[in-house]
Formats: sequence, C-alpha cells, structure tokens
Amino acid sequence: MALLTGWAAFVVGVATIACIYGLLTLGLNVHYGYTGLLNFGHVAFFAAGAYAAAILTMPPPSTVTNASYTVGFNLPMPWGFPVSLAAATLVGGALAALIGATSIRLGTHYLAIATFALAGVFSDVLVNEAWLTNGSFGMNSVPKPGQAALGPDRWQLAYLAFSLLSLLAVYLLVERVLDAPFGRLLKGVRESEDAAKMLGKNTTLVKLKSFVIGGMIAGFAGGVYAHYIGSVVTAQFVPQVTFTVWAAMLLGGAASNTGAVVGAVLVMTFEESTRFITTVYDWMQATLPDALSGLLPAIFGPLPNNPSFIPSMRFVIVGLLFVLVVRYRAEGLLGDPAEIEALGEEEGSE
Amino acid sequence: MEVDRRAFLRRTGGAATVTAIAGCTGDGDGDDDGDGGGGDNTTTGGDDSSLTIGVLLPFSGNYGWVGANVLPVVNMVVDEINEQGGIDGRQVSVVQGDTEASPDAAVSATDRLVNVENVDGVIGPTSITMSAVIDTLIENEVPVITPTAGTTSLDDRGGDYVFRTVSSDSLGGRAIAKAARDQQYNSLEDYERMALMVGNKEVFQSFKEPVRSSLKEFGGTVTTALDIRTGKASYSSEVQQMMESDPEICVLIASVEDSVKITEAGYQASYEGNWFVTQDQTNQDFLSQSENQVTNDVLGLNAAAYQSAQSAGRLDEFFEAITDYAGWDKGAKIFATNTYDAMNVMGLAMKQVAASSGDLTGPNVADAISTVATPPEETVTAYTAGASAIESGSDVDYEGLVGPINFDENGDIVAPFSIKIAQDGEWTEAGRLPPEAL
Amino acid sequence: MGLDTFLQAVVSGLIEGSVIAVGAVGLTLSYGVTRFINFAYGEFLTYGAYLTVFLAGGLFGVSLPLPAAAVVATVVVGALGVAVSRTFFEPISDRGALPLLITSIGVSFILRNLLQGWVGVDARQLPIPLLRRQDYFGLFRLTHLELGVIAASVVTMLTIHLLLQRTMLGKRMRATSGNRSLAKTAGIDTTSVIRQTWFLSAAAGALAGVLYAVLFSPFRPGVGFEYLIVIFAATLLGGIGRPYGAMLGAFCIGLAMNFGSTYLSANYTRAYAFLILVGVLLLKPEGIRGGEF
Repeated sequence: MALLTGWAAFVVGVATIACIYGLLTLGLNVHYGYTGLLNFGHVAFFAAGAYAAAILTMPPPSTVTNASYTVGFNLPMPWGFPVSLAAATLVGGALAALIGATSIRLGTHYLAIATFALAGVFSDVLVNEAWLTNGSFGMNSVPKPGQAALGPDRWQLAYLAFSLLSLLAVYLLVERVLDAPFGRLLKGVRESEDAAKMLGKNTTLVKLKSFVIGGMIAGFAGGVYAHYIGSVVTAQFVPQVTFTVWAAMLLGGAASNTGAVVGAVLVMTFEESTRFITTVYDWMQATLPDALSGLLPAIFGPLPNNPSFIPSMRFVIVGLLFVLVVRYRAEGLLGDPAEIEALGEEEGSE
Repeated sequence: MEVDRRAFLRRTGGAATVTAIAGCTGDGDGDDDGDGGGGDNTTTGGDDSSLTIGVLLPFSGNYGWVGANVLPVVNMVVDEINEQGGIDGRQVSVVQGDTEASPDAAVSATDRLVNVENVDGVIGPTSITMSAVIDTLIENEVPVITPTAGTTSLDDRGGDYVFRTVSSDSLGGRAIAKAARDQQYNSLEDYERMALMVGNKEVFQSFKEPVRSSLKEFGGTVTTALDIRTGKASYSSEVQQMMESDPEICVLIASVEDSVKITEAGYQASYEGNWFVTQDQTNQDFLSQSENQVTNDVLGLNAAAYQSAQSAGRLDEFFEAITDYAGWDKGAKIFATNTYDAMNVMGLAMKQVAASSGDLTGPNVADAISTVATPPEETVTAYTAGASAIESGSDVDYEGLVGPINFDENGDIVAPFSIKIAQDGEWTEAGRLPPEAL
Repeated sequence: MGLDTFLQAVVSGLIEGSVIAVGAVGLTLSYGVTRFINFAYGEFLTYGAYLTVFLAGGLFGVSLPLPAAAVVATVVVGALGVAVSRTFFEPISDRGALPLLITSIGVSFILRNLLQGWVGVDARQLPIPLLRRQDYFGLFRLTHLELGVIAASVVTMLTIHLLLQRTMLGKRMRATSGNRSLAKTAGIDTTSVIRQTWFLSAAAGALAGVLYAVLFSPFRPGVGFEYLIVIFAATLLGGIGRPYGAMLGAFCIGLAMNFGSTYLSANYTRAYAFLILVGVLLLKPEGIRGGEF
C-alpha cells in the first residue's frame, strides 16, 4: 500500500525541492555566469512565477475561507497544468523584462542594488495587494495535478520525476542556447562590453535578452514550486532565497551549468541535513557508553541555549561559503578558472 | 493568574538548539501489536516498541518561543505516561519538527515526522503551516491536536483527524466586540465608535471580520479599518490616520512589537481614545515593553481561567509542576495550559484504544480523541487518573485547564473569555464573558 | 489633511533623514577608499544598537548611562569594522570590486547570524523614557528625544566635515579616494588610511544604528540589513563616494518616505525609498551632487 516509507519519502521531498533550486540556479547562472549581470533580486522572478501559477489555478474566492483575493481562474487540472507553467514562465520573463528595461544598462554595482531594491518593492506589492495575492494569508489551495488519481505516494514520485525531467530539459536547453552564437555573444558582453559594442552589437539588448531568459527559468521554477507545495505565501519569498541560490551557483562554479545543478543539490542537502542535528545528538547521547555520556553536554553546554542557534549557524555557514569560495576557489567546484577571470575584470567604478 | 493564549503564528527559520532537546527514548518491552498508520519499523524512528509524538511547531526565529512554550509541557505529560508504564506497555517518545513557520520547511518537517519518525500523533502546528501540511497529515491518518491554531480558517475543517484545544478567533473577535460595547464587561464605558488596526498577517487578519461584523451586530460603528504592515520601523502615519477617524476606542490586532510602537506613537501624538488588544498582547511581555502611562486602562482579551479548574486548584498545581519541571520563572506561559490539555487528550485516546484492545492506528486514536473528551462518563483531569479509570473499564471525560474540552463536529472547543484592564504594568480582570454571552 | 499634516510629515522626514544621513555618510566614506558597495554595512547599525542595549542594560556586568554606552558601542563597532576589513576584505583587495562585493554579502550573513545565534531573535529596546511631543511655534510637534537625534546627527555631520577638510587624515583620505596609486606614490600609507576609514565608516554605521534605535524601538537582529536599502538609496542619490551628497540624499529619502506614507499609502514606506533610488539610477546615475568630496 504505502509505496514510500521512511527515508525514501523524505529524500523524495528534498530531491524535489533541490530540483526547483537547481532550476533557479540555472536561471541565475545565465545572468551572472554567462553575462556578468549582478542580479540580487532573483527571488522576485521566482515569486512572480509561483503567483502566476496560483492565480490561474486557485479555485474562485467564493469557495475559500478567508479569501481576500478577487480572481482565481480555477483552470482544471491536468491540462491546466502546462498552461499554468507556461504562464509562470512568461510572467517571470515579463517581470525580468520590466526590471531589465529600467535597470539593465546600469553598471554592475548599480544593477546589484537596483535588482535588490526592485525585488523589495515587488515583495511589498505581494504583501499589500491582497486583492490579487490574498496578502500574507497566501494562496493555499493551489492544485497538485494528478494527486487525486495517483494517490499521495505515487504522486510524490511522479512529481519528482517531472521535476527531474524539467531540470534536465532546461539544462539541455540552456547548454544548447549558450553554446550557440548567442552564448558567445553573452560572454563577449561579459568580458568586454566595449569590444562587443565596437563589433556593432547592441549590448543593452543582449543583456536584456539574457535577463529575460534567466527570469523565465526562475518563473518556471516558481510554477513547479507552487504546484508541488500547493501553497504560495509571501513569507516564502524573502531575500534569503536569492542568496541561497547565489551560494549554490558560486559553490558549483559560475558559468558552469553542471556546477549550478550540483551546487543547488549540495546546498539544499546541507540545509535539510541540519534538521537532523537534534536527532543525531539524541542518538549519540543514547549510544555512547555511560562513561562518555557527560561529554556531549560538556561540549555543547556552553553554546547559547536559544532556539535560533542552529538555524542561525546554518546561515553563518552559507555566509562563509561566499567568503571562502570567492577567496580560495573562485571557480567553485566545477567551474572554469578562465571564466571567472573574465568575470572579475569588471571595472570597479562606473 | 490567568493563562495567556496566542491566536496563531507564523514564519521564521531553522531547527532547534541542541541543548534544548528533551526526548526520552524509552525501551518498554510490552508486546508490539500496534503498527498500522503510525508504524515503527524503521531503524531510526526510535525504539521498535515506542510510540512517538511529533511536536510540529516553529522552534526557531521570531516564533521560536511557541515551540519553547509547548515542548516542555508535552514532555512533562509524556514523562507521566511513561511513569505509568507507557501505553500498552510501550513507552512514549517525543520528536520535534521545526516548521520554521514557513510552508516548505513545514512540508519537509512533516514529511520527516510522518515518514522517517513514523509519529503516532502530532501536537501542533500553527495555522499558516497548517494549510501546507494538513493534507499530508490527514492522508497519512495522523491524529493531530493543536494547542496553538486559533485561525478562523480552521472553523469549518477538522473533527476527523484534526482537533484543537484553543478557541477559534471568530469567538475571540465576537468577545472583543461584545466587551467593548458593554460597560459591565470592560468596567469603563459603553464604547460606540471603534477603529480597527489589523496587522497584515493571517494570525491578525483572522480576527478582523469577526470583530467588524459582531460590532455592527451589537450596535457599534466602525470608524475605520486599517490594515497595517507588520514589522515596520514606525507607525506614526497609520496612527495619525486612525486618529482622524475620531474613534472612542481602537481595536489593535498586531504583534507585541508593533503594538508597542503603535500605542507609543498614539501617546506621542496625544491620542485620547482607548485601545483594545487581543490575546496576542494581553500578556506581561507587552506591558513590560511599554510605559505605564501608555498602557494604563488598555483593555485586553484573554482566555479566562476555567472556573472549575481554578477553584479546584488544578491550575495552580499545573503551574507549579511545570515551573518545577521546565525551570521556568512562571507557569502561566502562553499555550502552556492548552498544550497540557492537548497532550492529555492524546495520551488518554491512545490509552483508550489500547484498553479496548484495538490497534494503535491513526484512525482508532483519532476516533478515541472525541470519546475520551466527551461526557457523560467519569470525569478525569489528568492522565494518571484517566488511565486507571480506563483500565478499570470506565469511559472517561477529560476536563481540562482551559475548559471542559468537548470537541464539536469540527474538532473545536469553546472556552470562556476574560476581559483584562492594564493598571500600572499589571493586567487585572475587568469582566468575564462566558460562551453563552456570545 | 491640512497644513498641519504637511508640516508634521516634513518634520518626521527630517528626523528620519538625520538617521539615514549618519549611515549614508559612513557608507559613502568607505566606498570612497575601497571602491566597492559593502552589503555588510547594515550589520554595523545592528551591532551598534545591540551593543548599546547590552552596555546600558548591564549584560557585561556594568550598566553604563545611555550616552556613554552609545559612545563605547560606537568605538567598539569601529574597531570591529577594521577587524572585518582585515579579515575579509584586505586579503582580496587586489581582485577587483566584484569579489569584494560578493564577499561582503557573505560577511553580512556571518555577522547577522552570529548575533542572532547568540542573543536570539527577541525584540530589544533601549532604556529611554517615552515623551509626548511638544508644540513648537504652533507649527509642528517633536519630542525632546527626536530633537536630540537631529542634534546628534548635525554634530556628526559637522565633525566629519571638519575631519575631511581640516585634518591630515581627511586630506589623506581625499587623496586616496581620488587616486589611490597616485596617493601611494606621494608617500601616503594607503593601507593605514583605508583602515582608519573603515573605523570611521563602521563607527558612523553604529551611531546610525543607535539613533535608529532611539526612534524606532523595539528592533531585531535583522534591523540593519532591512534598513540597508534605505541607506543605499540615500548614498546613491547623493552620488556614491560623496559625503555631502549623501547628507543631502538622506534628507530627500527621509522626506520621500514620510510624504509617501502620509499621502499615498503607509504600507509602502520602504518602497518609496526604493523607487526614488531606481529613478535616480536611471536618470542621473552619478547622483544629485557631482564632484568628489
């Protein structure tokens, strides 16, 4: 009866989330790795996609308790699913086009701040415009396509398979596009905007295209996320997401798509594994011989006894990851040092 | 002394600190005939023959205190159960699932509890994470009793697997409107013109409609209803706007932190009306962060001490026990009594199933939850007495610290409310609202 | 919504502008000599505010009076700034601005979460009395504390002005900021100048944090990171690397946030700062005030 038990079920869940972060990281890699665009507002595209999917597929507000949103198109599953994902992709791309149109011609640092700021504005909109987004209640009845027919366990597996396929498809697509002349053009812009300009290329347009492609990928990831969790809430879309994706990309290796995926898997595995610290501690406490059982409290006793300690340390480690990778292995695990060289040559002041 | 209750809670981030762990992995050796929904055939889910209770709450971040208030109470009751030899010879152990009050963290915490730890019952969650995890819990037939989720979105759900030992915000909102309109409940005056300032999170918004519609029903006027952004640096513009509508009293439904800012902004701007706050702020925390000249005469809603629990001395007994057990400075922490009731009902339900020689499956335990809490059989007020009553063959009715704990068809309870008034940094009771008055 | 409301919005804008100004000047000073945007700067605000709370609240065994606590906290955070620079930024200072910027994000995560792991996320506040606003000339109303914040900010601005114009350090800083290699050739110990600038910058950040805490208590460990974008806005508005521009920018941002909250919607306070920032970036990326220093 139960197809998934124990660890398998847990791992399936984590793997699905890792695929979604893999997609996000691929998108960001198009921006930064390939084009040198410093996007610190990636979470906005992710949120845009998730909300687009939610609005298209949520049941009408009259049928939901505490609804303050006014439109829910209630697209019936299964065929509503591809429509919803396509819309998520388009909305992610459209937001990227909008933000890009205003900010893309800014120099690196200014772009970093502008994207960070615009993502902040976007999240304010999501929180405040409850008629569209249901405010901080969130959209909690996003359908999980096929779940009724498959049953929860099979559906978990099927959705993981779908997420993996999506990741693979996007990976291949990105590899292909970026191998084509367009990819070389992006890198050309990254390495020397002036040279590209002299060759008669409209570098602003090239950057904008790159920005939109990455935004579309993140929007798509948002759609996949919304139908997986079944619940889209503003509190989910915080700057932390952006920087987690950055950590994944830097760790895997900027400008390497394989690296992006590997980085995402590693970072998500790390984050999830910290959930088991308490379990491991209990287990050690129970298995250690009595003579040693005083050891653990002696080691961990002096640590601050507040519940935020472990989660905070998790982000300290994410922060260290930024510092150490940049300092000692700028190409990450799988990146190419030559690519990083090209990224680092940006002029500091504009 | 009264028990504070908090409506319901939200997001933060993380797991729990190593030093805050208190799970007892027992090794009872009774025969293991219960498997089913809460099976225990993994290598990691604790001892082969133990029953596992999952505590699915935020343990970290802004709402980490919820987990911190609830967990020791759960552990205390579980210790009591284990001292009685466990249930059906099986010891009970406790595992934590940190929801971080965020949906995807809650989903993976729930997956872990349900699939890896194979929990037999869950205490928690809070409401935002409730909507993300309720389906998983029900699909896996896990009995859930939440001491923390007052949100109105649970009003018409639950009763099958999901129960709560905290009253719904729709009743709370009604109580506020009733008490503001009628001097006999608030001891000050019959307020007629009322403004509403409501934080833009579910925990607060959940109150808004109940207050607004009840106030109209009781003949009051809403001068303005402002949704305010939570967590802002300053609220002087919002307060200005509220004051321009010239209310006699403003119902403030927001976090303690924002409420401190808002009431102080009102003071600075010489606001002359009064404030009425919800369970979220009717606690020492709020008063100790504010100046007395700001909070004097502020009205607050609170869960009333259940009269019979108080007069029988059970409330004080519990406070003493938990203060002692958890090393707290006071027993009356928010949700503590709600948790005591939730965990007792959970334990008794399991005991009931075991005694009627049923398998300890989710559906059986969930069925028993209503049974052990419903009259008219032998009234019990704690696990130990209840367990021996069950063993001697009587059907029990658990009577709790927050109320008689009789679940309705949606798994909800009713409990009396108390209206508090702040005087010189202390809350004192101004009036009492029995459920019948609403 | 008459003249009264308008004047009150102006006053609130100026008060908040005073806080932003201190922060923005600090940020822009360090940009002048280091040439990268420091995302970890917000943590100096946070540390300044928390340290003051702890010092005044007797966490370290002594309870200092609030002003003394603020001064000590400012100096300590200044030293922290130097330590952060030496640990994280100096070793990669020859690698260009991008690695520095990305590193600063990591540093901000490290500092913020270390604090949070240590003290938890409970909201804190400074031990200050609550005052009613007094009427001034029948035009606007202020509390004495708000007046104090404005005064502290003005004194800080003047000090920084004198420091830049009248001291050797100021001259060296300006030289280093203008052209580092030239400054080096002219015999200026640029490493030492950079460290001194880090000290000033972090100390100004800490002071801004304290002033913020005076006005907007209670606060949590995320306070500095959340306010960072407002400070960025003021800094860029004034033209990055330009202290006087930053001061001017700060008051514009403060006014914009308070006018927006009063007349448009109070739920978008931060967004007004963001939008002005983006507008400036688009129309006049060099900021409203040209020229170095």
